[in-house]
Amino acid sequence: MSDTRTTEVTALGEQSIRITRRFNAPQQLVFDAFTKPELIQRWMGSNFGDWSWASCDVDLREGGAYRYVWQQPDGTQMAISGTYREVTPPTRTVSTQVYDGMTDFGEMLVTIMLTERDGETLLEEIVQYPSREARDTDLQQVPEGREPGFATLDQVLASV
Amino acid sequence: MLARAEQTTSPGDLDAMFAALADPTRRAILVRLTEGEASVMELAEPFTMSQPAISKHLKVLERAGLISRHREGQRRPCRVRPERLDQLTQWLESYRKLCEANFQQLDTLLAALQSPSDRIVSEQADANTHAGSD
Repeated sequence: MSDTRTTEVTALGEQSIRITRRFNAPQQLVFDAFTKPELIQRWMGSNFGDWSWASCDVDLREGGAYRYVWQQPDGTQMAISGTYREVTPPTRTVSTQVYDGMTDFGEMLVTIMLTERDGETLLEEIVQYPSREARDTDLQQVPEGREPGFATLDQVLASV
Repeated sequence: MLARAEQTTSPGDLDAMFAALADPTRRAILVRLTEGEASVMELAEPFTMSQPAISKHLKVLERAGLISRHREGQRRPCRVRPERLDQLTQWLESYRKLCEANFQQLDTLLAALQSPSDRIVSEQADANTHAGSD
């Protein structure tokens, strides 16, 4: 009903952040957009800089792995990957997430929850960092008002 | 930008701020204080909480640098330190903007998937790799 489809981001406890957003689509469709490679590649990180998708693999089951790879025209690649801990279509996934080449940053735990109401779907996403320091570093790394680059893409990807 | 942020706030400061803000009573106190300074008694009023309990929350907020207290005769009113709140809000806001930009792409995709005619168009656009679609 409401037309306020804007993202909200709040600090949650000491080492998590919560992201909420409403989408004008049924739950199943939003779930698919978050879990099917052919759909993921059509929105996630697609509007940032000169990065384009290199590959997108998802083994959607408990214990299954996923890996997203982007690259720049010069061939530079970056990737995030992880393992599904919980897959409950079309309402919930819990997965681990790591940035390639940033192992010291540690592993995040990303919970995605979808609730459908009046034909709209509410996304609630909790990103739990391994420590307060990791979360705060991640938040502080978002350069405001600057052209999105590697670091900013990381931020966006951390949220999805 | 990052250098400036590091100069004014250490990671420890930020931890303290987030921890302070994790509590709903403390957030409510901050909201109240954005309307103007207030004494402990005034702040305790809307809550079903004793003054000592409120004082404890105020100490956490004060340590996190989110409020300051000064003496005015008998009173020790509290006020927000907007510059500190602004900094925290700025980080969350930058992060939010990036998420929002990404989710707007998702809006577009979801709309395309729900419209039979657009669906054909978007599939064609895909095949042409970035043909001019809205």
